[in-house]
Amino acid sequence: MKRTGYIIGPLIACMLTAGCAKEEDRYKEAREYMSSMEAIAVEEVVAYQREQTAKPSQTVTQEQTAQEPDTPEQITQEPIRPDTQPATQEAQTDDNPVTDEDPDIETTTEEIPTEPAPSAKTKEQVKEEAMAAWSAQVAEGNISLLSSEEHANLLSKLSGTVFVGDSVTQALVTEGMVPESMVFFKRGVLLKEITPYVEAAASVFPEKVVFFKGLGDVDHEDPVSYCEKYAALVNLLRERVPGVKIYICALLPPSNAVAAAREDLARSWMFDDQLRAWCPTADVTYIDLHWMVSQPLYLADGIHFNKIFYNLWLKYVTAVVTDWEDVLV
Amino acid sequence: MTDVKKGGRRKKDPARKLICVYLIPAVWIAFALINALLPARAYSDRERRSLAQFPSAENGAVLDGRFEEGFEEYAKDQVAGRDALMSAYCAVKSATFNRENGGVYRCADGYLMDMPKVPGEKLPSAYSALLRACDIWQDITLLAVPAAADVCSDLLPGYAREGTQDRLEAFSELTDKLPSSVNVCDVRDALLKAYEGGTQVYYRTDHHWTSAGAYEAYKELMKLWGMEAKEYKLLPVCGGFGGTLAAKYGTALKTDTIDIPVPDRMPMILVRISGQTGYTTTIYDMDAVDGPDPYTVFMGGNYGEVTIKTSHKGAGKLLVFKDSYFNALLPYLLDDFEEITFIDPRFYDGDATLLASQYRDRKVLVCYSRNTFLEDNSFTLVIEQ
Repeated sequence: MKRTGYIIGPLIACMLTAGCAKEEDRYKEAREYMSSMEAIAVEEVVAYQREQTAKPSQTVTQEQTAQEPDTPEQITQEPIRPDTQPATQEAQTDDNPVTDEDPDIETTTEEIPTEPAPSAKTKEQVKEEAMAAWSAQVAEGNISLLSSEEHANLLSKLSGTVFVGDSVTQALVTEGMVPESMVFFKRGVLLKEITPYVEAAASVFPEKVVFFKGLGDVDHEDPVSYCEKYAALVNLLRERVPGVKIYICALLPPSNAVAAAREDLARSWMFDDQLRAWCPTADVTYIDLHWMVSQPLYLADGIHFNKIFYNLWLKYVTAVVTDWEDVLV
Repeated sequence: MTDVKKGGRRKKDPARKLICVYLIPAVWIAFALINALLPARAYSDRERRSLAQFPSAENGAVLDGRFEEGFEEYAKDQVAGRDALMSAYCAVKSATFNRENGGVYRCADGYLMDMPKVPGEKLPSAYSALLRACDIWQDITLLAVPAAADVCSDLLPGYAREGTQDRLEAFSELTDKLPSSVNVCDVRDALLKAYEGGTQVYYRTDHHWTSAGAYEAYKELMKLWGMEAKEYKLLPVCGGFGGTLAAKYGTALKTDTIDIPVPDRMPMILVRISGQTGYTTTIYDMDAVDGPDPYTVFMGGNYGEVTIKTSHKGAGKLLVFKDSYFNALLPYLLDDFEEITFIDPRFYDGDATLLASQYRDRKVLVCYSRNTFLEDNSFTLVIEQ
């Protein structure tokens, strides 16, 4: 009986162990799948997704090219591309009755080669008109607030953009301008302390980063070291997110009342001048906000701005980061 | 017979004195001291719910009775050894062939089911929220998942099956009142067909649907949206799953296996959870399979807002208002959309106005269990801010 026990006991133990092992094997494939998914590096996915984003425009071009021979009527009715003129003229001569009916098309196509590239001039015009309209709104104290549709339009254009800063950036969230997921901030943070927030911004691999900081550093830095600290942050971003575009907003002055009372803050113009000069050397876009500052746009503390200011700020900054495409005035 | 001394006085029994005078009071005092000294628990893993805390006596709570009610709940929830006492209670109930405990019915084949809610005369607040959502979004789909008792009603005890048809009709009448701009994806028939075909569409001891059940809903959604449903392989990730209903009933009669759906190609996704830094590349929480609630293998639980970017550029963007049922449906949708943002209104603390602006041009899916749709008011609180 004792010997039987010595045999049966270990036999049962082995069977149980084998059963457990078999049970674990059942889940192995799923768990390996989950592990593989977790192990994929974020950088790898970012690169893959950007590659996929680049692909559709090439595909569309190929499709258009494939379609062109099948739809000559469309080509003759598009008075846009000077390169296609000979082809369109040939198509018109051969078969297309459109030429006989619409002689104006020939006139239009003859004028096209003499016009300068429309897109560059249009952007400049757009920019001038928008700046003129906004400046007038600021001067008249009549800045238009965003409607829901306009707000949605701006937010969709800001996809891939994040904002970094202190309380003046925090206001983008508190005033309901942009979602918190796009903003990396700490109230009162200085440039020498902001690195964790820049790293957090970098961790979402943005396409564009906009810095907007307030007057906190004016008490703790000199203009040269101020720009040196920005330079370090810019380098950090570029190392973590190759190809990222970086924008730095102007350091705005305090209100007249605060500037009269606080000499230390009144010297902010020295920091801003240094920043404005440094940015182009570092391939960073300086966003000049001075034109949009007027006294009524300050909050009572004379350092922060109100919601009306941020409505205009959002329109302007969006225009800048999208290179003045389809500007919302 | 007790001993009688001279003079008619009963002789004292030392054992009785020991028990009545010393032992019983000592046990009571010790029990009271243990209860007083043990820190209050915030959450019960066993029952999967938050436990009542010591009530506040401020603002007239004592005079109007709120303090007393709160203290009763607190005392019940925080009694020392509650889990062991609950287990013993449930064991006794089971042994005495009691087929209901804590609102949960013991059904055939080891299933535990709770009774689904019935639409009342007053419209639920989620219904109003849906109407408000129609003002913001043009493309809204409602997927209200029926409870197990509404699909596998043949497993219920005979006396509990009554009312199933009335419940289904009442819910249909409710959804019929929705404006035509809301697409209602009724998955009950698809789930029933799968169940009758031998597919396990609900977990035996948890209120959630299985991955197989979620797949049936996925196919119905794709049909409604005019999209092609992809094929997936279901792989078991853990066994011995006893869920929320087992916790309520007191025990799991049979346990289940949790499966995850696996596509042909590994999805290349970036997952961003609100309140957390950076991205992850997975929707699964490996640690959950060995934890107290393995269903949280899907996403690790519920968060206010999660955005997933996939590699399918140009495939459209989806916004989802959801409860935990959606977590099992999510893996199927990764291959069909460029970006999926899902919001659990119970945990969302963002700006609702901004929500409307940020996600204005999206296809919207409202994915709730029918019980949540009928009872929850957090969707309203988010949409109507």
